[in-house]
Amino acid sequence: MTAKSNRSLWPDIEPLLSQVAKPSRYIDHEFNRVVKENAKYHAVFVYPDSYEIGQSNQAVALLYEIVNQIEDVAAERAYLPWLDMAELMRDRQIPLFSLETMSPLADFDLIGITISHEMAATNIIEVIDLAGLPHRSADRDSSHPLLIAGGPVCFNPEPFAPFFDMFVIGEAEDLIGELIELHRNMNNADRTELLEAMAAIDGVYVPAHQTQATVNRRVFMGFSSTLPSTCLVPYNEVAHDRLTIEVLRGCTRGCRFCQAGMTYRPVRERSADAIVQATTSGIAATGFDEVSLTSLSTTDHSRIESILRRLNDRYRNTGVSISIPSQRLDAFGVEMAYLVAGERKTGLTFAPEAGSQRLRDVINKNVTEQHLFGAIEAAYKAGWRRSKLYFMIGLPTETDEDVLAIADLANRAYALAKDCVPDKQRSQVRMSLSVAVFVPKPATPFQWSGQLPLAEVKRRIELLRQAGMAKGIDLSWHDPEVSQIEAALSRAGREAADLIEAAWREGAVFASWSECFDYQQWQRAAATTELDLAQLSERSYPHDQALPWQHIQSGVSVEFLLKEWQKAELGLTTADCSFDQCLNCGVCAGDVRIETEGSRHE
Amino acid sequence: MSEQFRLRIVYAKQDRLRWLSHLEVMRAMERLVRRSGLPYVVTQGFNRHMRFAIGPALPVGTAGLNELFDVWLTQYVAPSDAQTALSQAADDIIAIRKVQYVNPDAKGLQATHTINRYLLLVDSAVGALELQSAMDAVIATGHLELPHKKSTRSFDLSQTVAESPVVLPTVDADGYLLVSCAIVSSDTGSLRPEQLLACALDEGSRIVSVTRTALESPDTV
Ligand code: SF4
Repeated sequence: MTAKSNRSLWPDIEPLLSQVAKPSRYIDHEFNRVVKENAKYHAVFVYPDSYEIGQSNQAVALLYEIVNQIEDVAAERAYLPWLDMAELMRDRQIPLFSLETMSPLADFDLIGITISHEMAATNIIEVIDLAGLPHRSADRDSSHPLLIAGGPVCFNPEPFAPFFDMFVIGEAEDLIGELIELHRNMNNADRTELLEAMAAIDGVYVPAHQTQATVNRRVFMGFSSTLPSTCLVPYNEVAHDRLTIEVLRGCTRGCRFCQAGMTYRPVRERSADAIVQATTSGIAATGFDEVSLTSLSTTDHSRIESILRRLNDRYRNTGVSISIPSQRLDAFGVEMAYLVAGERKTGLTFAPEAGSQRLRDVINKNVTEQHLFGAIEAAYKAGWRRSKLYFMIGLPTETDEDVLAIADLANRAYALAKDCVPDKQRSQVRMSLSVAVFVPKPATPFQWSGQLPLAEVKRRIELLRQAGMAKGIDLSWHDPEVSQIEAALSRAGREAADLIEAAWREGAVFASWSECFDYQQWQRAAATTELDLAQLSERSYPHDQALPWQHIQSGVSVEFLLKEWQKAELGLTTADCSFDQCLNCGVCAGDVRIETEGSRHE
Repeated sequence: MSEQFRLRIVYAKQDRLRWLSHLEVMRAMERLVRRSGLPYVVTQGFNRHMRFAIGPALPVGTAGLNELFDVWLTQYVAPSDAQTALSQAADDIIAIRKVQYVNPDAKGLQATHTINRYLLLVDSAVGALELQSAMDAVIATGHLELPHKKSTRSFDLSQTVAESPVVLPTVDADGYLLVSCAIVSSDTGSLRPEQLLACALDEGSRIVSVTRTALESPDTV
């Protein structure tokens, strides 16, 4: 293990602060941050993006809290400095530092990096490089910290495999303690021996360890019985500047494109009492004036109505507001949003995802036009004047009719919204349409399917643009080139590591920020590495071919995914097992089972 | 409307917190009040929020030793209890210097507390006497033209400078000269002490730090 020197870089960093934007990103000292003096083991959790994005990430917050509870172990945080700061740091040879003790990252025993999406790929290299570490695991030795990755992207770790010593597959809450304990116990072991021992931990994938046949996803079954963490209180206006309480984990609605829906199973709810208690203590500890009840499908919580009513009573006339990130697409979802909206009816978000019923059946969205219209009617009658609808373009089996059906559905929803408001307010009715490009993800029923060619995606977006949408509808779409890179990296094998590193060398950092994304950097990187972005993103895998992520068991069986793919082709839907009966997806066994507080209702 | 109690809090924005923007300080103080558990007043209407008012802004990078904010309470809390609650909530990160009640109907802090006292640390290439005469010469010109956005802004120094810059007889631990001055703030744009001082500095000198030491009302000066 490394010996952390307690060398604070603050004297080097402070003189730079007058030259950079938002210096509060670099000063630490937020309420509720933890500084442990005299710890014997030091971990730092990194979110490879700006402070504003990273500070809002729940995984880092969770690990920070859990690890700081371990005796003699200290956890700190680090984020990627913005471009201006990184340039100054390189100029002055200041390495990437943690916030709490302002220590160089290379001084830690363990560096944990959360990878939430593929577009963070080059930021990972930037983190490793700014930390002054060799980029590849093979070039590091026991004088370097252990570098581990976690997060949704690890369901296909291969494009990132050479950069990390190991990956945590699935939920890390109780795994992280086991990993740290082993590392401490094997203090003097050589690296190969250590990594070999690490590979024996359930849920840990060590790319260098050749004999590891399959790695199972870890599921944290203590979720329902533990309280959510208390968050830090940033100064800077971060992406989610509020208290977040994770009310439930998992969603089994079964959308076939959705990786989170497959990889966070089974559904586990925290009790209404626990949620109310955590909100009360969280607001008191943070001083936030808003709490967001987060999850993949908050309005599916079996006690959601009672939770919202209790929180409403508790916070009436206190200036503290309650929010839910999005709602299920029906009148009940709107009713729940209405419960907490008060006077602030800023906008509601719905995700029909596809324009035609045929395609919604293909993706197993399990909502009909009637559900959407019911929600729109309820929302606009209740006083909302704005809503946002999410759609996807390029889904498997999509035709031009399906694309045009998006415009048609939106036009009818908009007309209905107008009908639902008093004459004088009709001009205020707004609807925005956000169109994402389908990116096939590992561990989903669509994992075998390729993405449409770039030119075809662009043609379909143009088709939608020209489809004649009502004036009050604003259409926006994701950059197809960004989506192509995302698709290329999401299902690639280890060869994509070279592409990532080459793109970083071309200057690609903060690639998920539209102002920083430069497609040409990726094209040049592809040329250097003799890889083809189109081929990587568009390739379909035959069902009998081994996939690059075959050794990562997400919990849902390949048989189930394949069956879902076949049903998709036939336009057949699958029910939600948290409302209905078990469909044998393969997740539940032994202790792993659905945990809901009451029964769920359609 | 039921009775309200206007509590004035004197706090320090110093050390690392000097890098906060005015908006960030404001948000942090509101959160501090909520964390303290003090019974704050919530405004009625469309967007309910804490009844709260903060003193004149400090630029990012400038420290303040005696900064001010007011918060209105629904109940009287003894100032010492309020100070304890706020200090505990401040986690040793923000120093709460003083807490006192003021007249609930008094004008806002930005209107009343217009005298800003500053202390600047200067790494000076010249001695104290030479710096003093350079500063005196600037003041003697009576006005200052400073670039502002694409044009210039002009300051009448007899109105803007409440106390001319003075080099103090002591130096700080690092040997930097200490300069004090007082500036009158205005809602149409205030002169920054470092801008005033920069006019008197030669090329080899630099301002190391700027601290607002006090905010005062002209009536009490
Ligand atoms: S095993 Fe059955 S109950 Fe468990 S998540 Fe899968 S379908 Fe649902």
